[in-house]
Amino acid sequence: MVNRPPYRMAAGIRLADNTAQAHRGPIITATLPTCLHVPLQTALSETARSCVVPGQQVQAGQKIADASGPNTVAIHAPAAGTVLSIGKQALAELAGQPGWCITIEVANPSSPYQATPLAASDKPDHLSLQTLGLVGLGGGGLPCHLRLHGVTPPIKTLIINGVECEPWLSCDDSLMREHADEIVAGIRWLQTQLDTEHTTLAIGQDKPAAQAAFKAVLPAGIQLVSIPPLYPAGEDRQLAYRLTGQEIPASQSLESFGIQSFNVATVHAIGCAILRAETLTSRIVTIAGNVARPGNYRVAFGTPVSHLLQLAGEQPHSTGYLVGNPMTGETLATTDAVIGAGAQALIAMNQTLFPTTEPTRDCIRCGECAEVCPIRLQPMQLWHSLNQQAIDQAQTDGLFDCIECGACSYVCPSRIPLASTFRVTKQEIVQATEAQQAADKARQRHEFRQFRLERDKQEKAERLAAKAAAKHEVATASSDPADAERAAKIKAAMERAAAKRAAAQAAATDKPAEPKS
Amino acid sequence: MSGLLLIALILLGLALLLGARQLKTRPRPQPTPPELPLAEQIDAVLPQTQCTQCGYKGCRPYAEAIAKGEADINQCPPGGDEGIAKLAALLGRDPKPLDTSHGEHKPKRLALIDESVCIGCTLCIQACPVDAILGSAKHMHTVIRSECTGCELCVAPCPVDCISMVDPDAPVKIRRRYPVFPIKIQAGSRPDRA
Ligand code: SF4
Ligand code: SF4
Ligand code: SF4
Ligand code: SF4
Repeated sequence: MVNRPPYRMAAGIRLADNTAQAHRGPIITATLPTCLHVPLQTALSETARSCVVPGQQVQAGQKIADASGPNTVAIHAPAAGTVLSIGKQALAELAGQPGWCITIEVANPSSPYQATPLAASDKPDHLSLQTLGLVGLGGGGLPCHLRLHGVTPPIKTLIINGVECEPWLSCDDSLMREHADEIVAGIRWLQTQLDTEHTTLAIGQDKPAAQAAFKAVLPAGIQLVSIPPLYPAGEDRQLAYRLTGQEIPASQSLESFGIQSFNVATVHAIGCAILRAETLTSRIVTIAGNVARPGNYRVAFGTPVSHLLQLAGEQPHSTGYLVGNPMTGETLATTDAVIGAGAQALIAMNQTLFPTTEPTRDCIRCGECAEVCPIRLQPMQLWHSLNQQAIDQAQTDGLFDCIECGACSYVCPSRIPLASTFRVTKQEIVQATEAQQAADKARQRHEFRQFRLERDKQEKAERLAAKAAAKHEVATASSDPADAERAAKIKAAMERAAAKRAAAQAAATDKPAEPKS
Repeated sequence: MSGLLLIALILLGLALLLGARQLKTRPRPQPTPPELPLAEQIDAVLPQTQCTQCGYKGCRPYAEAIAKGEADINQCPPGGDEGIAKLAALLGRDPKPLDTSHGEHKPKRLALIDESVCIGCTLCIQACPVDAILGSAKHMHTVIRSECTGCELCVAPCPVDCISMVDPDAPVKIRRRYPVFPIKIQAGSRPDRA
């Protein structure tokens, strides 16, 4: 793999504005708000178990929640303060839907956030990615330890994803420019943990400064590959194909092909964790759009979006707020939403940057969508099937292979919301399937309950009948001769059994003696 | 002459060969599975909440009543309009609005026992149609959330009123509805395709 040229992506789009909006300045450390609402939830919808109580003082880096199972990680306080409450708050990465959070009143609001190592008091016996709270920062938010331990088959190829092909985003770029050494430390540690054969660091071609930063510090054994900025080249499966030539179907994971891919921001967090036992309590967020001071901010988890907008100097006439990039991101329902591990960018929209969408027109069968689809689907065909409620047809045509990249919607001259329709339909299908499974289980349990009640009733009836019969027998067999006869029978039986036992014993003792003689 | 014959023979051979291939690759007609009894087909589309709101002892008896023509298709509140549409499609009838005398359609909620108040009377266990409550006499009871169908049958029997219906917690699947935002494109630079 190492010596072969990169494979060509099936398709994709070159976004006009890919780099124009990216900010090349240094990372700005955001100040702390008065209250942090630290999210407890991981990407797998499981929640860490809080280990603090309201009113308790916490130190920066102190553990405030324990992992409640293998799918969660420990959560730490990003700053010193007092725990106010534990409750539900809107989460930015879920477009403002609520999730469990611990609210901390910050002791020194308006002071800059500082990364802190794990507080000495909660050093666990065994430091691990789970106890340090490491989750993926590439938007997925999967706990890192799940991708390292117990992975089968062995990982041969490690891909470090620094492509960042999405428009507006430059959070990974800023990290690579400023913290190449920590990222390299993270990569080396991952290499030893996974025992990989090939390690590739993929960086977008539009990031010469990041590439230059790595060229100075990259040790042997890590190959740097420059990826042309073709959207969505940074998607994990697309990147894996480009680097290894291995096509990975939507139904299978990268791991099952011996490939593992980490986002550079995740690797940076791993690097900080192993170098300084630092807990993961912040991330870089690209703040852009209708703001006076756009840039890449280091933001403590739990910071409300409204605080960030204030920091970046929001300009008047915002039409909405976008979390993530404009191709796949979501508009935020409320600016009270808090930043968690999955929020890569916060973009304030206005009429000039994001003009109102033209109304949808009929599909003219121009075929542009099919030409740009990186999965080589026929989006217009899927769209027609879904319009005609032919969900099965859409599924056979690969609806579930769609990666929801939004390339088709972007080029469609009729402004048909192809990608969002696919996404919503997929979720509806998944929900319907889950509801059906739950119903089937409920039917089974109900039927078993009916059976159990019936059986219990029958058994009870039988027990009562047996009892009655026994009483009857006692009553009828109370005369002496019958009792004597029964006793004799039992005695005879016992004698027979004893004789059998003796014979068996004799045979057993005889047998081993035979070979000796 | 023999040349022509040879060509004809070759063509015939080819035709036979291809024909045989076609026969082989054409999918065999699959035996259709035996049709289930109507009541069972109806039961399969009912929500299985087992709440008895339809006026029957559970989903199955209601299904049987529909199959016999004794009950209408709009009596199941948990199924709602979607459930009625499914029944209508199955039975080849027109969908109709839910008969609200049986109850309103509302999102599924799960039972929660206030464990500090529970006196261990076991009445809720006896009421639960899907055995979703765990506990024993004079000991605390609790709801197994993954099995609860939200039928609310356990709420009324509780003598200390410690069972409430709450919104299901975390794993509600996220429904993200997002548009692809038209990004401002610089004059004259239509995104060129790769
Ligand atoms: S959103 Fe789906 S259908 Fe559209 S281009 Fe991307 S992968 Fe293809
Ligand atoms: S790009 Fe739009 S108009 Fe053209 S074929 Fe696809 S869906 Fe139809
Ligand atoms: S109302 Fe619906 S869910 Fe409830 S028992 Fe009747 S059929 Fe089942
Ligand atoms: S726990 Fe209560 S609400 Fe849930 S299924 Fe059992 S009886 Fe119904």
